[in-house]
Amino acid sequence: MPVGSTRLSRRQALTVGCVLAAVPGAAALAGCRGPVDRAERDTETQLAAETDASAAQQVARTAADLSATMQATGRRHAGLRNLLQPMADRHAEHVHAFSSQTSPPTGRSGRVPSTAKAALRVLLGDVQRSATAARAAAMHVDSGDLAAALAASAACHAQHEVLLSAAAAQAPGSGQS
Amino acid sequence: MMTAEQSLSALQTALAAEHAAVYAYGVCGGVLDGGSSAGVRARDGYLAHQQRRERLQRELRTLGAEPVAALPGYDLPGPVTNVGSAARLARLVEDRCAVGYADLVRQSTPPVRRLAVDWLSEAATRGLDWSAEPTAFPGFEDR
Repeated sequence: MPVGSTRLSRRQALTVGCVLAAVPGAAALAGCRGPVDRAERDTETQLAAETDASAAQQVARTAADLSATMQATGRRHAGLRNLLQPMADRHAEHVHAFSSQTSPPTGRSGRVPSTAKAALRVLLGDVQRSATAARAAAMHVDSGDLAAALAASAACHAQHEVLLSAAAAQAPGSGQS
Repeated sequence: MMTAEQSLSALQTALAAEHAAVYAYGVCGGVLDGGSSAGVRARDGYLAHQQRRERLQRELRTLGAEPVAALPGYDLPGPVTNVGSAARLARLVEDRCAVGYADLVRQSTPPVRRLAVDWLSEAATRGLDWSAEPTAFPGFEDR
């Protein structure tokens, strides 16, 4: 099947030095070191870079919270741990990809409901909101590399939606927290 | 910053992937029981990729480009004889399409980027239907 596209490097997504530094001017905002010749950037490019860096940081913060909530849910509901820990790890990869190397956000978990079904439904809502935000960010950022990484993270969220929906449908519990 | 030429190239690459996907899902459908869940998934996949192929062809013509044609045949990675081998092929198809859409996101501007963003998520979830492993960045190199 001769599908000749060039696969984007995963390392490209996992290294803020590539994702954000690929955005002209964003390296400084992301806390990266390196020669940045600001004199050669015009105002429009600089504004686009700032917008891109801000969007990436917001997605990173949301991913950090999501990862923390998944881990907290896995701790409270041991039967969900095998499902949730890999998801938490993938969202942690998003944090790494979209945040500053010098100040990655620390996630804060929301309250975890007492039944597994309700906990899964809460997570499902969180993932859906986060996916919507990542898709919106992918649409609005200037950098194509950053847009692709954001769209891929949204696709990961979509996979998690499917898995969480299936697990919630099968989980025991009234669905009330 | 992407150029018009790069955008067209990414669209053509995505279309080539869709041609291959339609062919592959046709092969899958040929060996699966149409009434089985796998058979229904194969038909759904075939129709979805057919629709995307037509949409990409329209986008390319709107941009004044001649859409790349399907090949007469495609080299499959192995024989497709049962549900397992059909699933392997379908996973490969969705992975290749995800790669194409990630690149299309990178190389395009709205409204094409919107299509690519949505289709990347669809490829990722359709892959799950065929037992693909979730990844943090579908469409990116997984190593």
